[in-house]
Amino acid sequence: MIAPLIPLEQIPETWNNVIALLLGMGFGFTLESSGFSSSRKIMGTFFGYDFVVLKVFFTAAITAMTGIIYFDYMGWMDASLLFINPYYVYSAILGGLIMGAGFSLGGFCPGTSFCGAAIGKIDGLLFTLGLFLGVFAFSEMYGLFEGIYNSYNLGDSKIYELIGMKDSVFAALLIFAAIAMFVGSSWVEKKVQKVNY
Amino acid sequence: MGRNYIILIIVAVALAIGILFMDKTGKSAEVDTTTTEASITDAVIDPSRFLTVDEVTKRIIQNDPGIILIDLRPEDQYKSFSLPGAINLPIDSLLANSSQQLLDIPGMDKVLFSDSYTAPYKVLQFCEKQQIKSVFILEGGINEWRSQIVDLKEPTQSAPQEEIDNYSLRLGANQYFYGKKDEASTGKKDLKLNRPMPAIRTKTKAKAGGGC
Repeated sequence: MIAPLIPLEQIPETWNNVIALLLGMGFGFTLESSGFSSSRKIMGTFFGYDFVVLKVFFTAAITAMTGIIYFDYMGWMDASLLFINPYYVYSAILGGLIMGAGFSLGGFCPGTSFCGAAIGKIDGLLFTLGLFLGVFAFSEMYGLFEGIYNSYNLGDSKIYELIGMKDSVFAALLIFAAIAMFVGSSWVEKKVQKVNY
Repeated sequence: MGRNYIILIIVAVALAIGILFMDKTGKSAEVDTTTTEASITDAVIDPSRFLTVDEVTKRIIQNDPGIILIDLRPEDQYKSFSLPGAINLPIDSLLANSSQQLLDIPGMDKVLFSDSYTAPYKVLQFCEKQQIKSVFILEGGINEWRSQIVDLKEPTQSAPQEEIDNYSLRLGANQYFYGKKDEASTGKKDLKLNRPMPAIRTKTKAKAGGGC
């Protein structure tokens, strides 16, 4: 059996939503069990007293990347068939700024706000409400943003292609950067006064 | 730093070094460029290459001699259920001479379908390379056929006119292919459609007498 399973018809396409639901439940469970339903934990990244968010997401990214590279090499997966989100440069920058501002103000990102809401946290519920209001406002004013939203599309480009680097070198550098981040953030955590929450 | 952290770091460094020394030259030679997502997308980007279930249904009912339905799923799935009159051409047998001859029959519209788009995309891309013309994909594949024709659902009273018109055609097709009884005619339910069901034009069975 070779992955990706659905594009290569190892599993019928109709299972897409079922698998998405199961993965979503697993993702939510991991977020909650990592303590991400607490906005104080998330804010720890900005104040330097808790870098769990950074560690979990960086670990997830390099684990997935390493897995794909090795699976592709072993012939267990055809990585060229994986879907890659198209890169809209302006949308990515603007969206990143807005998301970052919301993240630092509210202490949640969309996924963690659902986790917070699911366990009945009022800030999580309000954040989720704000999220839906934002989606509604964007949809209603789509005509205003359409130009910038769809501009400067670089397609399914990858970072190492854009900077002219070999994919293997980039992957190795990213792993080394993750290790440096782990060590560095642990050092910062020791230096910054602990916050109990 | 704990012992677990140190073990994880050693594993990560080993994996990173492994990636650096990964020899991809052999692999890249084996990679079939026809299966890359980009090439597949390029070949099927033209919307005119898609035929809807309704378009295909009309042509089958009219006994259109210029259409061939090609089911790309494995044989066991084909045997359990397929479109009426479809020919099975599993994707694995694409390179066989008989498969290419089938796809290359001149003057016929070859309509490909499966339970996802991957197999039709691959075959379409293959046909592009072989310069085989008149190859189309059934929009939504066999699942769309199943939901629109086999598991037909009655539109609500507030449904748009277009949907009601399509329902009439699909109901006719359902009766034609599967002999499902029209609920309106059996008096079980009053459909109250705004328009009468269109007459389905079928070819009279004339003996082949040659000529045009």
